[in-house]
Amino acid sequence: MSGKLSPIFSGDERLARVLAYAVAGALLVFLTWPLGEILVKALQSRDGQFVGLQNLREVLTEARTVAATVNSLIIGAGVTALVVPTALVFAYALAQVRIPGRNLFKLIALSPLLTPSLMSGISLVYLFGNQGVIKSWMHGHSIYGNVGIVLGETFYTFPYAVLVLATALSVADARLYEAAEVLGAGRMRRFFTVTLPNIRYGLISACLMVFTLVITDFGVPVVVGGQTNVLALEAYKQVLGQQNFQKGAAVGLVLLVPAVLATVAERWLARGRGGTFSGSSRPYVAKPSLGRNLLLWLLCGAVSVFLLAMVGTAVVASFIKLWPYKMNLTLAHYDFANMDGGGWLAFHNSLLLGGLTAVVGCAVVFAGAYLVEKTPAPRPVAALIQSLALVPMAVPGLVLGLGYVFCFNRPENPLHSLYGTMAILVISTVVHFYTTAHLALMTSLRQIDGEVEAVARSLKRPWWTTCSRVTVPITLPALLDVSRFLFVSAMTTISCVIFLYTPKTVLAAVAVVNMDDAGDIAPAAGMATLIVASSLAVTLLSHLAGWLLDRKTQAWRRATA
Amino acid sequence: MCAFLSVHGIVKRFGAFTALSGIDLQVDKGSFLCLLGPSGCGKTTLLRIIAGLERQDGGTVLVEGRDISRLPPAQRDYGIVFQSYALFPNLDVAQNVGYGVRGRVAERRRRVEELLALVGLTGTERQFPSQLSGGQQQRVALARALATSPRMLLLDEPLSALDARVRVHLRREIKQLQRRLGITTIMVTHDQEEALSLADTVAVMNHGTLEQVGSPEQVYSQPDTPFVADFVGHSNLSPVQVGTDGQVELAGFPLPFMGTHPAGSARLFCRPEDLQIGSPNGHDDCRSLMAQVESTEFLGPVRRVTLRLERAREILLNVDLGAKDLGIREGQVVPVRFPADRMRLFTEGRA
Repeated sequence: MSGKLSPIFSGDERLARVLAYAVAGALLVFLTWPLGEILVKALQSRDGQFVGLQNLREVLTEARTVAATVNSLIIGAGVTALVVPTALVFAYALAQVRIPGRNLFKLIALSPLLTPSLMSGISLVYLFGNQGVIKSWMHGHSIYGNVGIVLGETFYTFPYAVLVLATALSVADARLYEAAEVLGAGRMRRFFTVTLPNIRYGLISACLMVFTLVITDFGVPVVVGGQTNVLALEAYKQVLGQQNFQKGAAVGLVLLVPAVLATVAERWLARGRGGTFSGSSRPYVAKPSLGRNLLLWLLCGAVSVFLLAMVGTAVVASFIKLWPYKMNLTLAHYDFANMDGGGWLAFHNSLLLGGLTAVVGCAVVFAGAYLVEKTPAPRPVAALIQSLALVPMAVPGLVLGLGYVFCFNRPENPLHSLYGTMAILVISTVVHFYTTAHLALMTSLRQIDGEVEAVARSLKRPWWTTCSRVTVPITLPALLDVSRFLFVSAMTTISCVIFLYTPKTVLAAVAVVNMDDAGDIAPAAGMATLIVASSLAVTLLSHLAGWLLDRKTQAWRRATA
Repeated sequence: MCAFLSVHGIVKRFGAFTALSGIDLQVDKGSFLCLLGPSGCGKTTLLRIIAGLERQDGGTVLVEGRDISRLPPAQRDYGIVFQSYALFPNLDVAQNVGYGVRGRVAERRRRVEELLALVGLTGTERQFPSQLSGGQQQRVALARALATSPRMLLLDEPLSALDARVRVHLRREIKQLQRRLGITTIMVTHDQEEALSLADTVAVMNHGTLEQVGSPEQVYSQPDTPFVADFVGHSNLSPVQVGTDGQVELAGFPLPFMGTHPAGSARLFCRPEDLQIGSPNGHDDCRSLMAQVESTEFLGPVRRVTLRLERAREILLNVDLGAKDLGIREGQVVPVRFPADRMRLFTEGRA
């Protein structure tokens, strides 16, 4: 019997297998290895001796780090308690009540995604800081510290919570509400017996997401943290300030815990779920009620004013001569030439990083998803890619950045030459946002009938023909979306790249931190404004491109018998 | 005559589950074979192994004596049609059909026209699959599968997604097309009517094994196993006793059945249309097996009568009568006659 003999692969299949190995290899080198290094470093003393859990014990017992941990936990819990209920009402107004102006409200709610997290910090300083225009609202309290961090993180995490909750609410089945009403359930009862059970997974995952984002973010605390130390700042200070990599690694491990727990919990919740919204379901829209609409409108309006203020103040202030004393317009703060921090080079670098991340990231992530889903890739390799692709979701950018430092900063690493280049910034950013991109492309690929590839193979066409003529054209809208996501993420991210830039590869978001640090807050606001402007421009461009592409290549979607 | 395709000892396991346990099968050149069986019997897996889309754990697939077991799909030379049509949604009909056609533009266009004429879809070149009906989409898939003039056509439940009327219509067309082109064809189906009407050879599968391979007539009237008898068409499988003298008895009543069978329990196979009911006014003599009419069911062309044996009330028999045969009423006691030449006996224990 010759059946067990290894199969003969055609040339194109062999190439697919080689590529699958390459993607899996790249993920091992650029994701697993750096994370492994953190683990190793965390167990070492400063001179490289194995000391077991001593670093971790120190982090968990030293007064300084314990205080930082407690601060992180309190702020995380506070922001979650503030953001999730507000976002729930906001999402309810958008998804189920459909209040007038909901498109504008949605746009405003998502606007923080286009900004670096520290932008809100700058705005807070302009509003409530020592020279803040409405400092009096603070009644003598300082914005620097817990209050500032909570407000900034609220701005930063709000869009994530709204997205998750709006999705959960939009799959509510109208038939359930009708059934409840027919059975005589009142409004409160309907909320507790239909709405809440329907969105409980969305609520839990929104809480986990917000909490994790807050704990691992360091952009807001670095600007308005003042004397308040948090864990994310501590890792940054240990590594970049004191060059204590081992302690930094231990802090990184501690930060990894909530993120990993959140991811595992979410997986566990999602298990055996899905398909509550079947083809015969009808989306639920609440009956119009003037009083309720007015109330919701007021709340959405208030939230929108807050969010706009968090972006707008920094934008406006960047054009003001001397806030708040000389309120004349000027472009002087955009003259970065005489400024430390990187200036226009940083902005150009960021655009380059965004562009490269969008193109390279999209190509690599698509290749991984395509090879796994559509070609006869070796089964263990496919499984490896599938599972590694989900890891970055659970790894805060800060931790990933630490791992990259530990791994590629060592001279004996054969890839050491990558260190300090634009390439490592691109690679780390792609890895950082891999999961979201992978899941989006995977969903899009799975919508294509799997037998299509089988037919194409029987017609003796290599996979790249099918890929370029069928798969890519069909997934084009998703590819465009993923590219835009990667570009904007690369423009605004800071937590990972802050460990990896050099004076030559300094980035705009890093420049904001540096200029703010140096007290040049107006130029910092200017740089942040440039980031928002380019993110916004690329988003608009991608929508335009999407619209044009849609007309050209997606005509088949609209064709009906 | 040498078989065009032969499959030897194909074994396929998915983890602990054995999907195929040693399949041997031959298909003659130009003939139409149907793999028939319930879902999960392994028929689609066998087709996918022949297509090279799935890897067997043991066994070989030969085409004209050449071992193709290890070849990739592209080198096996077949066209394939799936239940889901699997058309390229973003390509129009002409691009779909012409996907595998090589050559100059003009030649390709001519070939596409020819193929569309073959499946009766001339004029739909510029339409997208979503603009066509299910039956039309499946014809496009068929034309596309034939475009490269493959030596073999594989059909995986091609008609199952279609409406009943379209299904019967397209069934005939597939048969005519296959005859005209003389292309060796293997079709997977769970619909016995489809298999009987289309195939030259029907291979009935169950639990990863072949139950019977034969012409539609053989499979229908001379089933090898109780499974085949039960799965293909309607049948009566009644418990009988075989005496040491070879006499077959149903509830103690000796049947006019000859043959050499080991003594013991057995099951008697008989099609409902082969049983006969005597006149209700006939004498209740000891030479007839008497049964009471339990119910009658009008099925259009026939009226199916369910009988309960007088001698053993737990035994039921189905008898098909002409639809116009109105002489039978529920509650009547009638004599049942067994056709000596149209019965088969399955010894117990033989699955």
